[in-house]
Amino acid sequence: MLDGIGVLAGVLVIVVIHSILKNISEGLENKGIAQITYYVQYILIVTLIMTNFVQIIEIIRESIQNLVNFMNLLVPILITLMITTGSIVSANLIQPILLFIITFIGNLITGIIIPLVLISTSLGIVSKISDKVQIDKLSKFFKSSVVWVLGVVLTIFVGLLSVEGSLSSNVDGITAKTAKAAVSSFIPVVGKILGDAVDTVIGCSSILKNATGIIGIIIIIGIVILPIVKLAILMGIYYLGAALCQPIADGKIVSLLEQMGDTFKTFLAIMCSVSVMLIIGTTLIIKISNSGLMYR
Amino acid sequence: MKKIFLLLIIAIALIIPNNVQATEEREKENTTNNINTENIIESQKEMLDINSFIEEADKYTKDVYQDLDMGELFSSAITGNIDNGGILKSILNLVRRRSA
Repeated sequence: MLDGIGVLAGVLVIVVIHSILKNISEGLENKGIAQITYYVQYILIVTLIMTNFVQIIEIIRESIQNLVNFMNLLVPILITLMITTGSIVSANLIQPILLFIITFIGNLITGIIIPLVLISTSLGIVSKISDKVQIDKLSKFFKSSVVWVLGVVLTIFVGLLSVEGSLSSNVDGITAKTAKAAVSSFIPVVGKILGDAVDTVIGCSSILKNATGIIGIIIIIGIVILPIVKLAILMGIYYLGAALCQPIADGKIVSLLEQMGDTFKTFLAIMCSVSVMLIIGTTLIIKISNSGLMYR
Repeated sequence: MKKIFLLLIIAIALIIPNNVQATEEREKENTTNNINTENIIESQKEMLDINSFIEEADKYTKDVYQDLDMGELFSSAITGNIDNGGILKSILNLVRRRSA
C-alpha cells in the first residue's frame, strides 16, 4: 500500500510542477515548450506507474501458478476420498473435467489473458500521448473480451460440474443402496453386520472428505487474499489519484490514471473469478458425493 | 388387596435397577462407538497419506495463516468446530502487516 501511495504522491508532484511550467510557457506563448513539458511529464508518470505495475504482474502470475499447483495436489485426494465413499461414477466423470479445466485456466490466464490485458494497457497509454494516434477503442475491446472470456469459462465450468455431478450422484447412491441391500439379504448370519460396518467406514471417509474440502477452500482463500487486497487498494489509489488530479492536470493524464485503475480492476476480476471458480468447484465435489450418501 | 399391592412394589423394585444398568451400558456403547470412529478415521488418514497433503498445503499459506496450524485446523474440521474467528483474524493481521 505504501508503494501505491508513493506512486500517487509522485504523480501529484509531477502534475503540480507541470501545471506551473504550463502556465509559464503559456505566458511566453511558446507551444513547443508546452508540448515538450507535456511529453516529459507523461514519460515520468508512466515510468513511475510501471515500477509497481511489473511487481503486481509477477504477484498475479505467481498466485495463479500456486493455485494451479495446489489444486493439482487437492483434486487427487478429494477424488480418492470420493471413491472411498462409494461415489465411483461421479469420481470417474468429474476427475478429467476438473484436471483439464484447472490446467486450462492456468495456461489461459498466464498465456493469453494477462498478455491481452498488458496489450490493452499499452495501447491505452500510447493513445494518450498524442491526439493524432487514437487506439482507445481497441484497448477497451481487448479489456471487455477478457471479462467475457472469463465469464464464459466460469459458467461452463460450474454448469458442467453441477449437471454431471447431480446425475452421477443419483447413480452412485442407488448403486450403493442396492449393493448394501444385496449384501445384507444374501450373506447369511453376518450380512447385516457387514453392511453396517461398511456404512461406518464410508461415513468416516465422508467426514475426512468434507474436512479435506474445507481445508482446501481455506487454503485457496489464503493464496488469493493478498493479491486481491493489493489489487483492490491499488485500484482505489489510482481512481483517487485521477479524482485529485482532475482540477489541475491535463485531461489525458486523468484518463491515464483512470485507465490504470481499470487495468487493476480487470486483474482483480481475474483473481476473484478464478478463486470463486475453484471454491465453487471444491464445494460441488463435496456436495456431489454427499448427495450420493443421502440414499442410505 | 394387600398381596396385589405387595406384588406391585416388588415388580417396581425389580424394574428400577435394570433401567439404571441400561443407561450405563448405552453410555459405554456411545464411548466405544466414538473410539471406533476415531480409530477408523485415523487409519484412513494414514492409508491415504493425508498428513503429507496437509504438510504440502501448509507451504502455500505459511505467510498468511501464521498463527494457525493446518493439522489442528484439519482435526477441528473433522469434529465440525472450525475456528472461523481465528482464520479471519489471521487474514486481517496479514492485511495490516502488508499495509504497514
